[in-house]
Amino acid sequence: MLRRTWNWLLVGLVAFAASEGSSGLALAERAGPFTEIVDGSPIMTVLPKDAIPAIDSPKFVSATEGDRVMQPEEPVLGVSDGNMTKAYSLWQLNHHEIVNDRTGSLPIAVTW
Amino acid sequence: MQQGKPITFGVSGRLWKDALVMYDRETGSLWSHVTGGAIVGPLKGQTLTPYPASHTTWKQWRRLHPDTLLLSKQTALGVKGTHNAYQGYFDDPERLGIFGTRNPDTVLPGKEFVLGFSLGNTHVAYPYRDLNRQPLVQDVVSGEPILVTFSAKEATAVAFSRRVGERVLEFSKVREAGGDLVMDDQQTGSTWQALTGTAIQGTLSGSRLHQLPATRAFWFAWKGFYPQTRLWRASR
Repeated sequence: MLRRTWNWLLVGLVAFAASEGSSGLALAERAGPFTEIVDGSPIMTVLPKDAIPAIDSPKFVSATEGDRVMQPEEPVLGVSDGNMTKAYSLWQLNHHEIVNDRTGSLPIAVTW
Repeated sequence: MQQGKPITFGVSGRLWKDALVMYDRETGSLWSHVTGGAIVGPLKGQTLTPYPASHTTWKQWRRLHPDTLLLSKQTALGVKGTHNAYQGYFDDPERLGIFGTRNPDTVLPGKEFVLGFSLGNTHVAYPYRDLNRQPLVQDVVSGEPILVTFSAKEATAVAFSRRVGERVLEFSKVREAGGDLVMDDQQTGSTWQALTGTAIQGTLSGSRLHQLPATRAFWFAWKGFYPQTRLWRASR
């Protein structure tokens, strides 16, 4: 029953898989013990939980305003549902890794 | 998604297969952001639905979507993210992950970018170096006719389904027109923006190809997650 309920809760949740195999790489020296092996690979602890703060109430600016803080060649992750179009700077996401957001009525997690 | 409250994610501080592990604040389960699956905790085995996104440059995205919004960089402490904190990592072909992962398949350099996605039980990878030679790929993955388009200038790769209504479209090769990368379909002769999959001219004008959830990944990471991945190569 619980499983079924969660299925429903999860149907609309969305993750942008944006793997670079890169996150937290400046922190190798602090690598701690791993907790568990999943699918043959250890889960390595490198930082305390929430040491990198996810963004929960994202604010957006117009493209014109964006030009003031963006480099033309700056990498972005972009999503568009046909009505609303959003870009997320990867240089910024380096410091947050997760944005809990919505596109239209759909809850999405933008991850990097 | 139509019932219940969405769950929200935080950064667990852990890595699995050299990539971000998220936790959900409702149950504390751990999730891989590459597979979208919960790997530890009460929700283990559940998966999130992937949503299509494009990796490109601000300049390119803005040109394709003049009305785009941008996640604000303003914080209480000023503007954040004015440079790539991981530039050194991106530039070093020898560094694979933070613990020195071995390239699981040296058919490609570990740090080669690929566009990777999964359809059904099939995982596929399209290397940027091959897309550079062949910027339009028409393929069939898990029975689905798909299309991969590539802009060499912006190093942007996007995947679409080639099904539009009842039709399965075939495309001519990409060309530049008015600063846009475009292609024509052979069935109706309509012209499409290659990177957005939007028809801009012809009888299908206004139609959009269904974009497939795909990610840009380093080859070593993609192969690490999906050892059985199919690897597409451009013909010589």
